[in-house]
Amino acid sequence: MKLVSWNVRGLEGVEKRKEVRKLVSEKKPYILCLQETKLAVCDDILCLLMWGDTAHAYSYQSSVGASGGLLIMWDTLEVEVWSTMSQDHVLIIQGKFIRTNEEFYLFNIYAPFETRAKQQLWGMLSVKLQLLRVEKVCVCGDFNAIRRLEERRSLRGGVVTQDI
Amino acid sequence: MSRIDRFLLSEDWCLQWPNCLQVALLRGLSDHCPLQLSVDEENWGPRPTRILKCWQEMSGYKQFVKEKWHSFLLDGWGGYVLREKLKLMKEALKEWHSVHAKNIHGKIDVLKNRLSELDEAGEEGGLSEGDIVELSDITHEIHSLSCVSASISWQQS
Repeated sequence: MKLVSWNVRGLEGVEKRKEVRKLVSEKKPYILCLQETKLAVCDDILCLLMWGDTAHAYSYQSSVGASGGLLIMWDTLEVEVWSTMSQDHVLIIQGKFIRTNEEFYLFNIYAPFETRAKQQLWGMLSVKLQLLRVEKVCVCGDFNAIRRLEERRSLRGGVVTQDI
Repeated sequence: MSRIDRFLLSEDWCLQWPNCLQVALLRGLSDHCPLQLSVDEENWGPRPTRILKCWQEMSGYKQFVKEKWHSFLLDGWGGYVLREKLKLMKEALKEWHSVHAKNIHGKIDVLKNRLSELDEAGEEGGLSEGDIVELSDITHEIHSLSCVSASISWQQS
């Protein structure tokens, strides 16, 4: 089983889409989570282009203006998804791995920069995760936050804060 | 690059798939690396340290472990120190094993030869008090080495 998460920084360009295509064909993930698609709409054609013509499905959250945007794509031969939920900065799918029949929840996150908004997101996530505490849950994505100062290594002098 | 992308897993997820491995892949046009979380059913992690049950029965083993363990002086946080000490211990035990628990059959043969020498001398009536003590020690030693050998073959079978 393999999951891939990537902040693509925009899927508008053909080159970026090709990169995703390459990633999928090389790694063959069961599920691919993308952050910052910067797209208002993700459609069948886009997903076919990126995933290839093997069986797949997807769920997305629109960008807000030109920022944000989440996309989850999955291999429908390996993963069955029966519910998806979209909330500020989070896209959630609930389903199971077909081979092992194991149910799971997957959260795809793109956290905002602003501390206040981030704190709100953490609060909302805590409540949700508390409710799911006996479930198999994977939360992935761009948290825009480091857990320890050693994790900060910025080329530009960072905007990241230690607050997970 | 800062580590702001990650996979967080719930306790139940980790119990179901204990071999989850997170790696960063090469980045291209984006300034973030893709992260891959894989569960490799074949990957059981590093080889576990094995000990032979019979070591504990052998004289000097417990003392050896105790002294070695206290002789490793390492700095760092607890988890790191423990891991490094276990690594060093593994090496030390490998050496101890090759000196004490290897070639058991060879050792038994040497003792058997000596035993037969003493037996022959005994038939000629020429055993000193020292010889008699040695005779009983050898019998005892052969017995414990046989136990060790049986234990090793049982554990390795």
